[in-house]
Amino acid sequence: MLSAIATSLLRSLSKRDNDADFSGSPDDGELNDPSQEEQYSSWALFILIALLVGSLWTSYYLQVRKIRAVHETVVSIFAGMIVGLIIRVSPGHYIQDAVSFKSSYFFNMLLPPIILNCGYELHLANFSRNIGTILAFAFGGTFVSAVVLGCILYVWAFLGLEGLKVPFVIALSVGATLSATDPVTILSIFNTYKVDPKLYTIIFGESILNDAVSIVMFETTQKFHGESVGFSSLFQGVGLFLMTFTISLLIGAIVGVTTAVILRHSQIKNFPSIETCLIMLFAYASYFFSNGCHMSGIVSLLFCGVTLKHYAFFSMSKRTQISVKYIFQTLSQLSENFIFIYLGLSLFTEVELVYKPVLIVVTMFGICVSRWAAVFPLSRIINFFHRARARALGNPYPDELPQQYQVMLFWAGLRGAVGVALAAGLEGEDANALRATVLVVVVLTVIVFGGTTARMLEILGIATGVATDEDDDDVELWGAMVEQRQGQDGQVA
Amino acid sequence: MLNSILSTAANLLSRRESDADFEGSPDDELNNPSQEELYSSWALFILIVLLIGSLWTSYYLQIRKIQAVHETVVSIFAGMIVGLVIRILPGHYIQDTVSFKSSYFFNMLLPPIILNCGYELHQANFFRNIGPILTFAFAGTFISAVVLGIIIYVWALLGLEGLKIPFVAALGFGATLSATDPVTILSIFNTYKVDPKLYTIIFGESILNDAVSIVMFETTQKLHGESAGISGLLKGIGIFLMTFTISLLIGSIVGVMTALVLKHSRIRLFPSIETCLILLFAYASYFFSNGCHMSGIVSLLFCGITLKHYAHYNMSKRTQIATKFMFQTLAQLSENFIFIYLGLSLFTEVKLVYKPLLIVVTAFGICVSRWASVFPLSKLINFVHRTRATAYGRAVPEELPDQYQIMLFWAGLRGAVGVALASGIEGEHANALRATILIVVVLTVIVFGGTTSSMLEILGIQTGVETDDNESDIELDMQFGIGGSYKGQSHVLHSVYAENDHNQRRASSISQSVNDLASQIIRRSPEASQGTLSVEEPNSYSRGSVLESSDHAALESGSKAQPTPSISRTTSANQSTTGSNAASMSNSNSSTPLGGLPGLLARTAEDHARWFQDFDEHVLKPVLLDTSSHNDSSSDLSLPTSQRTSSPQPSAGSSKLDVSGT
Repeated sequence: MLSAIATSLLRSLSKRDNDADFSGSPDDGELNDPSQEEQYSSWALFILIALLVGSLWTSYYLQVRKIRAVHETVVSIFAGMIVGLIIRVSPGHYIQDAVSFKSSYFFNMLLPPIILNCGYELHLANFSRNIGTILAFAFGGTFVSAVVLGCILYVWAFLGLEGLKVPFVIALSVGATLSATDPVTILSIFNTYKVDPKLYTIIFGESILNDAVSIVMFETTQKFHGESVGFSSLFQGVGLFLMTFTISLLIGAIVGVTTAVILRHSQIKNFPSIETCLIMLFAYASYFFSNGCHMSGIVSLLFCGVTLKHYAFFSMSKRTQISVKYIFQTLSQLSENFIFIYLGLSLFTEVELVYKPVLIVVTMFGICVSRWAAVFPLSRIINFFHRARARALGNPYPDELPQQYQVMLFWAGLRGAVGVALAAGLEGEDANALRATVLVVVVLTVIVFGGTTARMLEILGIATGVATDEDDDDVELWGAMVEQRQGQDGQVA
Repeated sequence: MLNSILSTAANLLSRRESDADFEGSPDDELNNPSQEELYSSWALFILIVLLIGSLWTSYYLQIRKIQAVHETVVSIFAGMIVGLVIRILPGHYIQDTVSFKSSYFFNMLLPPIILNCGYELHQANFFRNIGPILTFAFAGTFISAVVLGIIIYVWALLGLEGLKIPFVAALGFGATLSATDPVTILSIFNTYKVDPKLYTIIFGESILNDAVSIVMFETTQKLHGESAGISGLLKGIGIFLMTFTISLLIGSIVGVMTALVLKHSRIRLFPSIETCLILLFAYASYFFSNGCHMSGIVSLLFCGITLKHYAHYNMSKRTQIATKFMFQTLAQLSENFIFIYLGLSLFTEVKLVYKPLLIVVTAFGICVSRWASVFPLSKLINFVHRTRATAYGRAVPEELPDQYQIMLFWAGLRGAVGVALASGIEGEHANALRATILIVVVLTVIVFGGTTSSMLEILGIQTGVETDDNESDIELDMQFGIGGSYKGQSHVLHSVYAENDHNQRRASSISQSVNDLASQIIRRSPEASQGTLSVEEPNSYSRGSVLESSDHAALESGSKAQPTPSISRTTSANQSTTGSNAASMSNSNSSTPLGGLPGLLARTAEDHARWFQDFDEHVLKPVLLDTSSHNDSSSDLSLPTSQRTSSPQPSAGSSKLDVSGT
């Protein structure tokens, strides 16, 4: 019922848009004038910035009032949707074009700061302690999830209720697209609540490697486009995937280590502003180089960030340490907030999308099933291994992943902007319908799962308020600084 | 000869390119997003590698102390070489990606630079030299644009190259090429530590310049097709002044609003959000202003200034540092990038039509127009200063000596703003004009930028003057553990800076020695009093008074008032307990030196300055700055309160000085 209303609304809107497109065509000519164009792009950017200010302000307000029922990402998406609707209804299409989702902007501008900051802020000890679980979920889980979702979609298309023709490879690639879980919302809630670092690390590690895995899977399926899929191609795909992953990791680590060596063996420490720029540029270079080589830029950048923090950090000048940290944090926060606004906006400003309500419902259902199929069996396997190991050592061992952690992992399966950006690469006759489905499903998962995470934490009774050292970092930095300063004062005196 | 070779090479290349374009049409399958993304990744990777190379060169040049070559020139050449390689390679996707787009320039590259300029602006110096700056920025740019426009118009009338350029288009062209670029010159000045006065004038001129030439260009675009008469001129000036004022207001209002928001909210408890918001507010002012057909540059510049002047003190410590570093880093990246971009676009722009004679004429015209704007205006400024000085009955050295004038002329290299504006040129010869602008800009950067350092030596302009920029960074590294001390230290350094500036102006050995003594006292005092904020804050906050005092001393009372800075310092430090007394004294005294003196007209600028400063101290700052005490434990929040208690002192000190001076 509700979905029917929604689709009729969407239909009328898309009709409205076609009209606008036709009526807008006369002023296609005068928009070639760069100063006019610049003015429109200024307005578009101003709107985006105003939305961003609003979202950050909401986040502040929610934190200050300790309101936890609503999360700022949900607010951002809704604000984006409302503004997108207004932009769509208002005449002229230039602003609409300027604010619509472009995957190249996403991959080249918005994603790198987030990944880099993730790598840079990564708690290496926690991460490596849980590396087994993380890798199991990231690799096994994503693969299972993509295949299950792909099968569901394929079967649905096969039934032919909506006249869709989706070949199996395409169905798999949609599955891969929708297997990239997004960490931002969940992790920011976890941060506020100070949830057990183990759960935090697992979800964080899974979601970040997830993106890389699903990108590589998606590209692999794109390569098989048109071919028949057999067992040999499965092996080929796995081989391709592992190679990509390893090489990307190496690129990132080598760039990080090179930076550390350069910092150590040069006197660039004396020019901290140049140093700061260079560190940022090296990290970005690893990302783009890796992407350019058909490798996974995300993996490279992540591990570049990790190596930078682990090795290069100690060769930097004090000023660079501080400014790099702050710049990464600020840029990543801006990007994160922006992505949700962008998602909300693009729901209405994308022109070509074709909304198929039943497909959306099926996909939504498929997502839950596939996440279920990925999380629970894998958790059981992990628990089994841990118990076996504990028994071998002869000591009783609690479950590695207790029941409520498993449910939380399931709940953390909300899909993110990476999926939407990947979906831009979908081909075939029903590409627009699939793209629309991916976008709507992503927005729905963020609203549903993201909006209820805080409640879920309470219901499951997961321990909160665990002290992490993230916040103390700053204080320590200050402390070190004060000590150093006092030492120098002593020398002066 | 060389020109014809160049042009044939360019022609050859452009033919090569159109071939490549045809060949490239089959691979229009690039519509595939993943393929497209791949190419854009390579393009970005190339740009980043160039940027790394440029920064590394800059580091290398600095460490080897090589001053013959400047990194911007290296950047441009590196960009040109890579652009050539990209052009020769088959396929046009990367070429399209790296070619100059004015929207990228105006929306991504320019804002960080302008914002950082506003934020790092030495406000005291800037407003002390506001007269020459405004003269050069407004009148200078206008003269330059008109002279260049006339030269080009006359050249087109001669018809040697078959160009037909209407007068308005020629004026637009002139406006485009009147935006001087500060980056190269100022980075050289920074390395050499040139006299802050010259630095400030060139800096202020070049930054306001951009705004002026953008507004002029847009005005000429609006007049496009109409005949330009006197009424058009007046209308243009009217539009220009309105635009400038409104833009300035937008920027200041946004800055003040930010200060108020920061003051009346508890957002400083969430420093990461705070940092983002400050950045966003500044950008919002830029885009809003641009969207309203106003000048985003002016808005952003003044937004930066207001942010630094008011909002800075309401921020949490973390945000203060984060914004400072972030603005600096982004600005540096943008600056370096722009030169690479210019070099690249010389070869990657496809449509350009190179007319060698026009280029030579324009390069010549640029020198003439710069000459016509710098020297007469300098003479005018010197004349005004001399009359003002004689009104006081004493001799002062020239405001702008000859070598400063030549340096100002030499600083007239044109920048990327012109190239970006040029993309808006219309008419049949737009491509030829665009190509001319691009080449002339690159040429001026190479010629003037490459020879600035030797020019400094030839002219014998004093270098090695201590500025506070580098110092304060080092200070910052050590200081910001404790809230007030960083502020204190840097402000004291400001005053040392002012002393040096002052020295320069007088150039008398006696005052030098006295000043050295004073600055030694100043340097020592914070070290002695570190950690005890109550003693230190008065010191730091009497920055205004020292600047005031040195200014007045220079203008009014000769070398007699020389030791006063140190006196004011000690007195203000001693008076820290009797704040209210001093405040009332300052209020009663501040009006006395204004009346009963001859040359009232000549002094109005200083009067306005002092009136504004009083207004600023007593009305604006209490309203805008955060004055409540916080129960928060972080030490930075104690800063504003201690400032407030000490804020009456500077005016007390300055008014006393005024009394003693008169």
